[in-house]
Amino acid sequence: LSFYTSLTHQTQPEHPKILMELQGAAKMTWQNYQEKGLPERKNYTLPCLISECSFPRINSSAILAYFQEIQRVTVNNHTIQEIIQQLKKLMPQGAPRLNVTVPEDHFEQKCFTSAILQQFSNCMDRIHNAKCSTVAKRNVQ
Amino acid sequence: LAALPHKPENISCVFYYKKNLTCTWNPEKEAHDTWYTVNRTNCYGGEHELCRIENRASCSFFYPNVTYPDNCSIEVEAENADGKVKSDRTQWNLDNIVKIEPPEIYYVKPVLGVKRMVQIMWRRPQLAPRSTGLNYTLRFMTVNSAKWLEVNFRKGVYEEQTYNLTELQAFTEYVLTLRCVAEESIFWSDWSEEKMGTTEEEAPLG
Repeated sequence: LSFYTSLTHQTQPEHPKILMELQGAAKMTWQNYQEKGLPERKNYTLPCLISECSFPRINSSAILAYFQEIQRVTVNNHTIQEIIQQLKKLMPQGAPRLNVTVPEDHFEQKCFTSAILQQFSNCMDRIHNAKCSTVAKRNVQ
Repeated sequence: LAALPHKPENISCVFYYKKNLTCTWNPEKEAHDTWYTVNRTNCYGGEHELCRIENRASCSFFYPNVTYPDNCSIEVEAENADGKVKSDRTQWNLDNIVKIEPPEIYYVKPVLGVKRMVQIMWRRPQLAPRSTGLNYTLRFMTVNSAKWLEVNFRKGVYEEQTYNLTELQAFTEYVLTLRCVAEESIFWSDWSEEKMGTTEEEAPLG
């Protein structure tokens, strides 16, 4: 799980577990999101990773801001609430809160939500797959 | 004569992954109407949550307010008409108290050409922490026996969910059941549904 620890630059032993739980919740949220078939919007992008030094770090404070806005415009979605809970666990102390504005138009809100959920799920999958290949490489050496 | 409630003691908590965290305590019953307030604090984020119940020594905090992993502190306050009494503060790491669903056995079947052995394949419980290896106990006996035998083994998160049970009797029908526990937990799952399987026939000697 050390690969995941480097992703969060934290020494908290629990962070790798949190990231694995986040990956599961991200996948489930995207799979369950009923508004399939919405037009793809390039202008809605989620800053999922912070590229620092040699290793990307998960941008938990930015992602949290996006998901707190998405929670506001979705009805009682338990997995979105779990994602928020898990992201709060990764939050560095005193991290600034990002301002995210969700479109006012109802249809655009759906496009926004769909874009962010999909990008987050893909991002967490990339992290997971990168982890598996790192572990596989370590087993080969 | 004022009669305060008893101090809540022997607090015990169980975490049902992605469902709830349920705590119980003693005494189960009080002579007078008693209200309980259970105060839960997350290790992460320090968020609080209260659970209130009347005349019952059990309370549950529900998903998604409780998410794995976490390390919660639990304090129970008992109150009746004459006053309040607080329990000691107790600490609960969800890793140690997670109870997961039983596994589901897909099949029990011989492997072609391999005598006195059956292979078991099962589905890893879906409601189990994603980052946790699981320890298993496999129970088995011949169908006309009354004595269970057991083997124990561990499976990592990404390992294939199969086990080869060897040193069995040839051409004999067995009944098997499986249970599991998250590797740092004290609570085993319930046993799976039983499954039957028969070892391969063996050519008579000589």
